[in-house]
Amino acid sequence: MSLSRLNLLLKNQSSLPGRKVLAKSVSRNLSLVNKPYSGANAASYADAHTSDQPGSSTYNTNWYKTERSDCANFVSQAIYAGEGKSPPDNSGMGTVYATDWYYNFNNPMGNQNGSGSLAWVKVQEKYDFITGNTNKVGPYGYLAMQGYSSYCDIGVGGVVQLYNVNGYGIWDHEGIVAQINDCWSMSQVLIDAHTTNRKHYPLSSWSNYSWRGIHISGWRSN
Amino acid sequence: MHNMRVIRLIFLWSVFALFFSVIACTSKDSVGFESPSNQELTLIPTNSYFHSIPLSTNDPYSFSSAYEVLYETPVTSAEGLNSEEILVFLISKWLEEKTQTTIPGERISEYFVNTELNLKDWKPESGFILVASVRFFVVPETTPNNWGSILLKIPKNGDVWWHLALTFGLENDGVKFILRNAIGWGT
Repeated sequence: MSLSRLNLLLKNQSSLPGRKVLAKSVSRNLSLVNKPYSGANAASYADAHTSDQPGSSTYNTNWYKTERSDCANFVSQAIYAGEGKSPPDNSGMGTVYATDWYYNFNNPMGNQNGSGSLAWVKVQEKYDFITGNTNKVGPYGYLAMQGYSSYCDIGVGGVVQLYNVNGYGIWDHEGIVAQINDCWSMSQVLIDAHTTNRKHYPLSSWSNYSWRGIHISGWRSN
Repeated sequence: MHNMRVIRLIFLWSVFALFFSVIACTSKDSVGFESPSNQELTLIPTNSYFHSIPLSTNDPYSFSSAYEVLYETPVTSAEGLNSEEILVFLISKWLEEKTQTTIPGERISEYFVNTELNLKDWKPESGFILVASVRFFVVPETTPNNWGSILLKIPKNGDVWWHLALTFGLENDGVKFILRNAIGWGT
């Protein structure tokens, strides 16, 4: 069904008793545009801006480095690259610190932390945002590998998150899938990450931790 | 007779409702995100070590030098303290600096360090004499700020305290005790 036909149908429905709320909420979703996500672009970005060595010499200076823990910020930058954007393009970004997906390129505090929303800089909030995103600007996707599926369900450009690295019972570390050489072998799923810096690090090296994968399906812009 | 049954049912449901409310409140408290002012002030290292994966000896992240320095103090300034007490002492000194900093988003007005340490595996060859995750609490002067990435829980209902945790490494180079940000230890 074409968008114009769907809009017409909703318009007609909204004149019926009990249909107004439905029509209003659906038409708000229709104002957003679904856009494709390139996992390959995300992986290329990640490869270019991490290494196997400590320090931040490979970091992209167009973005701030998160004080103390840069893992989620780095993954968010790679996702942004996978969306086909370059700074300071702020399409597909919201405004609410605690609930939206955004990076503020014009942070009044300067190019410091606080530029990224919690979904941008925090592991659990990123998961909640991406997997629960049905009507907001920003990336959307799903919890991968539920049931019988291979590592390729996460996909290149997908996110791998670790649980309880710091011992406080929360999801607190993550990296991005840079390459998958074998869909059925954990050692052939290669991860890029920050803090600690990792480049093409086998997912099997994280196998002592509980982990989960997020497949990113696309992103929404208004 | 019918009325008696109804009254008995209402009474039983009230008892159940009261019971479940008490359970719910108790569970909420046991999550461990209580106000910092209620924290125990004695030092409590955990008995069971938190097991992170031993990294290869070729891995630079197996050594203290890979981790960012947060604070340093002369060895003589911490005489009489054991390594766990020194760690908490240095974290407090580091946070004290954050009450004076002029860096936007970094400045805090108050802090509190939880003395229950979550000890991790480490080897003496690493250069560390202790590696532990520690919970601490700050009152940031601005929001958004620089503390979001290590936030344990989003503050709600007007709570001014941000509940944070970070993995720290303590090093003794013979002259100074060095506090390092060891986040990512074991990954």
